[in-house]
Amino acid sequence: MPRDPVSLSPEAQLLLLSAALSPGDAALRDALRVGIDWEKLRALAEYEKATSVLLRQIAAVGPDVGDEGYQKLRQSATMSTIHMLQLELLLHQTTDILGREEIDVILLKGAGLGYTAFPSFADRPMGDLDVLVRPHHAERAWSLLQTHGWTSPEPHAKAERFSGHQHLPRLLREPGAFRLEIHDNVLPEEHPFRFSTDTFWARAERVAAKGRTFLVPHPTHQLWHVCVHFAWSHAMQWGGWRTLRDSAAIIQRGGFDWTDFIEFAGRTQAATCCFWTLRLARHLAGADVPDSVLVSLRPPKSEFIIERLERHFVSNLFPSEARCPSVWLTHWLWEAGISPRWSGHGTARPWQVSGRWMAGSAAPESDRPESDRMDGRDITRRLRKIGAGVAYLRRLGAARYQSH
Amino acid sequence: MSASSEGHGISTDSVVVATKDQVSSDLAGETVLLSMQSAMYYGLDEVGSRIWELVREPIRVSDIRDTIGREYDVERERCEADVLGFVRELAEKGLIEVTNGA
Repeated sequence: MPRDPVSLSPEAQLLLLSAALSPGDAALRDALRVGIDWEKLRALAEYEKATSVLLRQIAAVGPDVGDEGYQKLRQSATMSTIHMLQLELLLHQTTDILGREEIDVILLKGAGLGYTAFPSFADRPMGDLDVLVRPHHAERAWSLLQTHGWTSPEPHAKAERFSGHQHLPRLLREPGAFRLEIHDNVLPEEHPFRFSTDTFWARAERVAAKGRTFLVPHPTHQLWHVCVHFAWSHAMQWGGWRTLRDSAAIIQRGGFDWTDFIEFAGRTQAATCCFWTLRLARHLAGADVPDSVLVSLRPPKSEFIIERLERHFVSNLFPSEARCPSVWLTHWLWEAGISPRWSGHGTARPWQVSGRWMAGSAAPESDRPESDRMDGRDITRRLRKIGAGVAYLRRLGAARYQSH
Repeated sequence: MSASSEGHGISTDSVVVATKDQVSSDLAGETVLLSMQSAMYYGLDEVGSRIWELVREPIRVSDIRDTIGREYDVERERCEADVLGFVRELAEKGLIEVTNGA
């Protein structure tokens, strides 16, 4: 667990603890003892959709339940749980509708993990539902669901308009602002991985839950998708809490085939994405990742460099003042970690594919691309920014880091 | 010998089980329930959550009474009245199925 204030606030550290499947009462008590700003914690937990899991973890060690902030966290967790129960019902309705039309569906991301890696659907909080259908079914599925209560904010959108996306225009359901994404691909078109969505279909597995049978990705593909989605699509800046917890949960199911996973990660040119995700999951969420796995996936960097890059990635997991102050530097450090050229990624970068990684990370004003804000005359501001970047790099070099 | 059977004909001999028309989740010692039929939410406290856990599989009401009485150290008659009242409420809300004379 990182303990230096350069890396994470006490609230962020407590939140990270809750990402572990069994954080241990003593560790939670220690984290609570340092003095928690409940308002800050709730805001952070809501941002990460972690309120219900966090509440369950800390309620077990008896926090000050009289605190108003704790009560607000409890309210938020209850709302989140209700949202998840509604989402589960909507998923059942959706798969029933598509099933009647013989449209096969694979539950992606949270929906799939809720019925495999976690004890229940509600135990894996998520913002929206993601389902994968075969490309020739995608438009039919999208239209069909709009006759069953789902609406598109862009009803006249043509599928071709979204040809670069891995999903059709998002569907919404009111009241409650529920969202559904119908994917015809697992990754956006411009991804740099040697990967075809057909692979997911070929090894998809059937699981029984709630009186139904669902198709879910093979565990190797689930973990691979978690890693690639976080390390590449979100450039390790968004969805960190869920990623760490998902990784730990998939591995903990038992019988995870690491040989298969390493082979698949290497063959698809995703080894470094998997390395960073799994290294963080092991250090921060106690995921049971063997040393040999990390050695196999590791980019060609010294431990000295790896450690400092890890501090940077940890500092950028959550929105905070400790985040890297420069977009350019953030990109540079990401490239240093993922090693896209060594990985065979060519020139493809996540920030060229999607603006969502930035929007989703709720980047502060100072994180916006310089070209958006500077007219070239603001030399003082530019120099100040360079200074902040240099100071950030110095902090990375100096900060102590202690693993979980 | 069964208790009086008011409300949904439920007695201590009745066998009850959670319907499939609901989803639920544990939340720090409490349970949040969503009924698919009524689209209503329900919150269960600690004891209610324990009973809900028991009715996930078919169970006789007398067995619920005995389990709750033992675990919470409640006098038998009072426990029976409370359990019957609670189970009837679940039945009225369509959250459990009841089988009599099984």
